[in-house]
Amino acid sequence: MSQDIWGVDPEPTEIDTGLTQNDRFSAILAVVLTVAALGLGLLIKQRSSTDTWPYESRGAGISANYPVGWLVDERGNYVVRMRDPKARPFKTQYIITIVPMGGQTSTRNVLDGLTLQRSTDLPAYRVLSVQETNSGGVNLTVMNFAFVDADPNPFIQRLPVAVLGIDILIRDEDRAIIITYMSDKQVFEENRPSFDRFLSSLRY
Amino acid sequence: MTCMSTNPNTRCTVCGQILARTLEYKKRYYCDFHYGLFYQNTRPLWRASILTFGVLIAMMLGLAIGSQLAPEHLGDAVPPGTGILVAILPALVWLIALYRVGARTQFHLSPLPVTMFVLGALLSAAVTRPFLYNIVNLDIWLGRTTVSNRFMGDILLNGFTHAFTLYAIIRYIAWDSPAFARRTDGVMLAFAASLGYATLLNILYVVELGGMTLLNGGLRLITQLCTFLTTGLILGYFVGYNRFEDMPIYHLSLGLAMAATVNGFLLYAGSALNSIRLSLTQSGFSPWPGIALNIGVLILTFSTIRGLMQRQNALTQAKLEQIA
Repeated sequence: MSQDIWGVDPEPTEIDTGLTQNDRFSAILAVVLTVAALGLGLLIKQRSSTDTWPYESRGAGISANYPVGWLVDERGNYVVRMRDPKARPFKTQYIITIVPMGGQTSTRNVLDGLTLQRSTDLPAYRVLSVQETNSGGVNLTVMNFAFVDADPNPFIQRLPVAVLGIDILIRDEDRAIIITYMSDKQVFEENRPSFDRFLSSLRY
Repeated sequence: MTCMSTNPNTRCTVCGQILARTLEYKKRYYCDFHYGLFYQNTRPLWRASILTFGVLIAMMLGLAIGSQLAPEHLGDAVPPGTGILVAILPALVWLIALYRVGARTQFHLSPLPVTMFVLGALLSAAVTRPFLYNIVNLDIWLGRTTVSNRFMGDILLNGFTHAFTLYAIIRYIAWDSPAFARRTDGVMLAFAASLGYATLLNILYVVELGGMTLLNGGLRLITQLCTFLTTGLILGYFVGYNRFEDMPIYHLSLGLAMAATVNGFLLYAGSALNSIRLSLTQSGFSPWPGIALNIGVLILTFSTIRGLMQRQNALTQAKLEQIA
């Protein structure tokens, strides 16, 4: 009865659509091939993002692994500064500084010293937050800050860049090790995992 | 090779009609009309494409001369409108030439190439671009990584994403259309999809930058277009071949892999070759090596595929006539 109403054949007929078994498998194989290629590509990207070179300062007793291709500079008033030469317009960088800490010196004194120095060196320097934290059994003081990177040459045609930074202060007996990370605000979070790997590789 | 099917419900591969009298060629079934059509040539395709390549070469020369004659007070940058014109012009020329040649030679063309063009454009903006640049952040990684990683990344991530998107348009949308009735239609439809795909990518590139330099920017747009057209030609050849013959299961994947590899290689070479020796008279960058390679590969691929298609069509026709 219902078959008559809906006009459906009593038995389904096999209709040859022209698609062969080879066609069906080749459609699947093309998808599998693409997924495999993309997976391999993402794996290479992931591995290359985590590729590092070792750095060691015998004088400061510090070693760490920094991203491949970054430039190392030891000529400033810091132990080392590592910069990404390809970052534009502001060069993402890690800086390791050592500050002597006597018995009367607190971590807050060290950070205040940094703030005073930077407020004269860096335009629009602002401390955003300071907090105590513990990572892997080590007490850390983390200071977040921001400033504006503007080229002093007035003929350079580019907008000033908002830069975000983090200071991580580790008290190591009579010295403070300050690890600074600075990056363009636009890519700060994107570059953060790389800095976290750098930090976890730090030995002192 | 050619025989009558035993299944009374067999449909024509092209139009899908249930066949009273079935003709078979390499495990594909046809009605009388499409049996005599699938190996025919799509004449407007070759003429429109050759005209478009001529326009591309003329645009290259025009950009070179224009950059020399441009008033110096303009600096290097030109407004986005110029870039958008450079991006759109080849697509307009191809589409207009295709239908004009079709009308002049009384060759019926369906609106399917225009549909493929629009679909290619939409998918490039809605799927590929967000995936590659917002999710994978490919451009940032390629700009920072080593040469070997850049090469592999261009092939595996860039190449396969672009090639699979174009393949999917042809395989899953055009494949079942009755307008896809000839082997060479595969090339035409893939070419249209890749043209739309590259055109919108180029427009978005110009809009995002808010303008571009006349010579370097303009040649980059043409270089990118050549890369995608080459990819479309390779895909179109393999899909067009497979549509009308039952091929081994690796056939389409081989075409896809070949298209992806060529796409990735050309994208890589299009930028890597432009880094030239730095000297007192050279800035370390020249847009010419990349575009020369890209347009050379495009013309070579086009000639090869045209030759192969025509040869296969002639052989098929001869076989079918012999059987008849």
